[in-house]
Amino acid sequence: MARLERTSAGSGAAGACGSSIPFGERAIDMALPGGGLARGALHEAMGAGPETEHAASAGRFLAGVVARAMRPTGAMRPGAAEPANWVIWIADEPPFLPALAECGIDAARLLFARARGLDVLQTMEDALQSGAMTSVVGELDANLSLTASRRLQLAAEASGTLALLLRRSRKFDDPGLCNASAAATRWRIGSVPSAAPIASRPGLRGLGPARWQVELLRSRRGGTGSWLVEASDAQGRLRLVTDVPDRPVATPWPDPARIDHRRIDRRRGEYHRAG
Amino acid sequence: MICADAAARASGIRPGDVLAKAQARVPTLVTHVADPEADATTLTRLAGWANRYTPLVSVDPPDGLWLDTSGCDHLHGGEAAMLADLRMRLEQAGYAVRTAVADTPGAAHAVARHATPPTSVVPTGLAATVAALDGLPIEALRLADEVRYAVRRVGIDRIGMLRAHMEQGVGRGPLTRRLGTGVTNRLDQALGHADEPLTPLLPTEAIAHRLSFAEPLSTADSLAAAVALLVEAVCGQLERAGQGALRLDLIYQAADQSMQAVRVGTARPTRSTAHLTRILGATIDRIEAERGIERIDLVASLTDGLTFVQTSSGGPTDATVAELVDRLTARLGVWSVWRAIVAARVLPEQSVIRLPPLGLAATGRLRSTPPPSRPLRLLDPPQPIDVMALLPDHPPALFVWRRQRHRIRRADGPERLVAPWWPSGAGGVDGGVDGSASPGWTVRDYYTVEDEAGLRYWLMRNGDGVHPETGDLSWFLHGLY
Repeated sequence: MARLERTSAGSGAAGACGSSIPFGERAIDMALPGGGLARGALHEAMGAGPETEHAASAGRFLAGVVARAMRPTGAMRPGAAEPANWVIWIADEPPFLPALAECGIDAARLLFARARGLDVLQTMEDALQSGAMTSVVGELDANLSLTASRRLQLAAEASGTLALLLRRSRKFDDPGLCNASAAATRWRIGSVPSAAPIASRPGLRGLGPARWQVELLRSRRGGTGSWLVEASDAQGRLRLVTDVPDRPVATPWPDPARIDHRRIDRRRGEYHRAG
Repeated sequence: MICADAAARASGIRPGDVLAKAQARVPTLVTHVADPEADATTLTRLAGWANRYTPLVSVDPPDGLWLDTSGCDHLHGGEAAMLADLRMRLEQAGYAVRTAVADTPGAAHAVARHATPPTSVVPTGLAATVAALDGLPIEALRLADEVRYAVRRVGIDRIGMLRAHMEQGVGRGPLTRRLGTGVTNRLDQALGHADEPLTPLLPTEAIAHRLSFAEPLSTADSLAAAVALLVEAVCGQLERAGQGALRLDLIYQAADQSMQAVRVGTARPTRSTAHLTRILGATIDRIEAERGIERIDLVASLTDGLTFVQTSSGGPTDATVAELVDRLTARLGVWSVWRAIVAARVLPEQSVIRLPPLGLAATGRLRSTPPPSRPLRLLDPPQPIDVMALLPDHPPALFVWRRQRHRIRRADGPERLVAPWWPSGAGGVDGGVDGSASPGWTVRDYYTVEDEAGLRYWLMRNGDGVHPETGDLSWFLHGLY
C-alpha cells in the first residue's frame, strides 16, 4: 500500500506533463490505473437523477478536468514549441462561457463547435485526429454505440488527446447511458446538499462550495468508487470532503445526509443490475 | 416610359405610359433617357459583385440576377441571412431590389417580382413552391406578351388557376393545343418538373484550373481523384503568385449542361495541397453525379498573401488548429465554429460575444476580483416559474419548475443587475447604478439557490419593486449550475 501511495504521489508531482491527469486527491487517483485520468483515452461523464438532462455538474466536472489537462507552459525543454493547449467543446447548445472560465479554462484557447446528434461524434473524431487539441469535449444526447465509442477511443489513443464525452438524456438516470462502451472510465456526478459556508455556523443559509457525489462507475483495469467532494475550484481541482456532513439544527427540513445516501444507494443498485 | 420608381408608381405612372402624359400628370417628374447598354453593363458588373455569394451567377436581362446558392449559403449563415445581407448591401449602394430564394429559378423569379413582401424565402419542397406560386398573377411565369393575353382571354389570371386546369380540369393536352407549349413548360420549370439550365458567368481573372473529361465521371472515387488533380494545379498557381486561398469554388458541369457549385472558406490563407484536398474532398458527397460530370473548375475566388509559415517542429501549432477549423466549417457551416469572450455587458444573455475561431488574439482579461459564480447552463429564453417568497426581498422559500416543487435550503442574493433598455443608449451608465433605477432601465434581481437535493439554480425576478416600468416582478429560472 505504501508503494502504491508513493507511485501515486510521484505521478502527482510529475504534474500534467505526463500521460495521465491526477485529481490530486489520493483516494480518487488510487482507483485509477496510472494515478489519474489517462490522456489519449476516452472518458465519459453523466449527471445523476434530475441532472441527467442538463448535466451541469457533470459539465463542470469535465471543465475542471480540461483545466487540469493544460500542459504547463515554460516547463518544456528549451527550443520546443510552446504547448498551445487548445480545447474544443462540441455541443448543440454550448455551455455558458463565464462558468467554464470559473473552472479554470482559458477562453482565448477554447473553440466551440455546434453539432447535434451523431454529428457530435464525427466532429470529435475530426478534432482528435487532427492532433491540434489538448482536450476534446463533446456533449451527446443520442445513443453511443460500442463501435462509435471504439472509434473515438482509437482516435484519442493515436493522437494522445484527452477525449471527454458528456452524456445527456431527457430520461432521468437513463439506463441507455450505461451501455457497454470502449471508454477508459465512466463517471456519474450528482449534486448533494452543501455545507454551511462557515463551518462554525451551521445555521447560516448562504452558499458555500457546491458538493457532488462523484461516482466512478467503471474503469478499464481499475476499480470503481464513490466520493463526496467539493466542486471544481478556479483551477479545476476537486476537494475530498472529510468532515461529517452538517446537520442543520435551525432549519426545519429533513436531514440532507439521509436523503442523499438513500438516493445514491438506489442508483448504485440500478447500475449493478444494468451491468 | 420604360421604368418608374416607387415614388412615380405611387403617383400613378406606369411603365409604358407616354412621357408627355406622365409629365402632365406629375409636373415635377424627374426623367432620364434610357440607356439599355449601360444598364446591361451595370448588370454584368453586379453579377461579378454577386460572386461573393456564389460562383454561379447568371444574368437575367434586363434587370435580374440569378444566384444558384445551393452549397454556398451556409457560408453566410443560411438562406434568410444571406438574402438579408445581399439586400442590405445593394440598398446601401442605392439600388431598389426585390429578392427571393426558392427551389427553382422560375419560382424565385416569380416570387421576387410579384409576391407582396420584397424579400421572401420559399421553404424547400414542392408543396411550399406551389403555395408560394398559386396566388401570383400569370405574368409571373415569364410569358411572351401574346401568350399572356391569350391566357388571360380564356379567363385564367392566377398561376393557381392555370395549375388547376392543367392537373384536373381541362388537362395538359388541350391546354397546350390552345395556348402553346410555352405556358405549360414555364409552369413545369417553376415547379421543378422540368429543368431550366442557367448559364452562369464564370470569373475569368482568378487563379483557376479546369479539367474536362471525354467520359463523364459519375463515381465519388473518380471525382475525388479529379479534385485532387485540380487542387495540385491550383496550389501550384498560388505558389507562383505568392498567395494563399481564402475561398475556393468547385464548379461541376454535368453532361446535360446543368451546373452545381460548392464553396469552401478557409480560416487563414493556405496553399497546403493535402489540407485543401481534404476539405474539398469532404464536399464531394453533396454533388449529384448521376448524370455524369463533364467538366470541373476549381477557382480560388478569394486569395491573400500568406501570413504565417507552417512550422515543422513537433507539437500542435496554430496551423494545425487552422486546418481543423477549416475541416469543421466545411462540414458544419461557417458560424458553427467560434471562440467567445466575456464582454463587459450587464445582461448575462448578452455578455458572451462570439468571435471568428482564429485571428486577432482575444484575451478576455477577467476582472481582478472574482466575479460572482455563473451557471453552466444558461436557459434561453428564461423559463417562467412559480415562486413562494416569505419576505419581499429575501430569497424565495420554494419554486415550481415543470410542475416539480423545489424547496430552497440555501441561497445567495439578490445580485441586482441594472441595464439600459438600449445597450448603447443615451446617457451612459450613470443613471441608475445607484440602486434607484430610473425609467428606461431593465432591473433584475438574481438569486443563486440550492434545493433540498443539492441542485443549484439561478433565479431571477424582473423589476426593482418601486418603478413598475422596470419589470412586473415576475420570476424566471435563468440557469442551472
